[in-house]
Amino acid sequence: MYPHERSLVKRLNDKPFALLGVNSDRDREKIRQTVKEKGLTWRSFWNGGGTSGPISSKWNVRGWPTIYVLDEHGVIRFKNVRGEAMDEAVDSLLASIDGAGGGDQGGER
Amino acid sequence: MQIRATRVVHALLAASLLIAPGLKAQGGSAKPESFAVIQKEYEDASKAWMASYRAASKSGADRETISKLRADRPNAKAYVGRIRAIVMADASGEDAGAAAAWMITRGRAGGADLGFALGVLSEHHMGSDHAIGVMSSLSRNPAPAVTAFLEKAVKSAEGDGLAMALMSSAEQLKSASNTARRLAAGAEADLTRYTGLYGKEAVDVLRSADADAMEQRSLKLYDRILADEALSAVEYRRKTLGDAAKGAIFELRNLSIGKVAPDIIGEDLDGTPMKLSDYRGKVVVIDFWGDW
Repeated sequence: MYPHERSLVKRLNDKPFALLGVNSDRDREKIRQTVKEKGLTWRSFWNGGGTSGPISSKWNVRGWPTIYVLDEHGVIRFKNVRGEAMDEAVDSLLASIDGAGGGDQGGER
Repeated sequence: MQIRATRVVHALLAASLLIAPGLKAQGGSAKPESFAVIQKEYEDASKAWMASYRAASKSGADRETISKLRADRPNAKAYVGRIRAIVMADASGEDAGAAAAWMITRGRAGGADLGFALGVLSEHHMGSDHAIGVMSSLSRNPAPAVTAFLEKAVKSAEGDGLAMALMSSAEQLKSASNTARRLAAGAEADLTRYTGLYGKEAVDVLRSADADAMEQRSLKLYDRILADEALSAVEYRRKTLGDAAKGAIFELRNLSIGKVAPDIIGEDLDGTPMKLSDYRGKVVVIDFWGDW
């Protein structure tokens, strides 16, 4: 998971894109350490120290990881896409911001 | 009461078969095999495999040996054909109910096998422990045959079975409507993946299914749970059914594809305040994660 996310964030460095985590670990100090050691450069919300924290509860998350992809207006466009499918989802949304669209899937709906 | 009685009979039957020698049908025998015998054969094979795997990893066996062992793990799917033959021999018999349930939960039957097992449970064993027992494992399977089975279960269930049927059907309809929407969007990768998981027939039906209608049916079932105090209080996955239903209703109304995501206002790992809405104008991936 980490290497994939790292390369996604790196590849889209100059695009209007952000990866945001919601971290549900128990030990805050320990996860801060891990984030540093593994070079995870994106920000994460702190879920309060467990999988039943306020954010994941409100979002009814019951499996980890759970992924949401939002467009530039904050509209949910994809759920639970992983790996290549996640990259494709992000690329298609970025392409439709660009207007003409470089992706083959540009501008669904 | 009736359920308990049949269960006892079944247990006795199973026990007597376990100790009866020479009952295992041979290749050409006309007599159908017994479910308990095949089940035991699978479980013994699994146990034996587990023991040798543990022993190998304990003794520090090399990678190649370990990966070979892993590949040799007994696969429940390989037993589905024989178990199916038992069900076919006497679909209304007690053994058939247990065997059909095994096909679904252990054997992870898909496609035609799943449709067959569900059909037998639906027609001959609705209301039995066997039928109730498969429900929660089906709640994330969007196949139309599962939708039909669970919706029928809701209509005929009572007592403990009703809570399980309502929740499983509500969850399943939610999942099926999501899958239908995704398939309707037409991504090639999704089509391939879902066809592999649920079979071409199921995917063809789901592709043209009415996702909004399924979502409405799902909401109705969750509402029915919430409207009933006793049902809401039933324990479910370390929560109550009522809390689970509330969470699901929120998800359906606010977290579906096409909805504006609710804001998240909180702080990052370092304690600095952060808000999801600060990222408007950007494509955002939200990743619920943990380092475990």
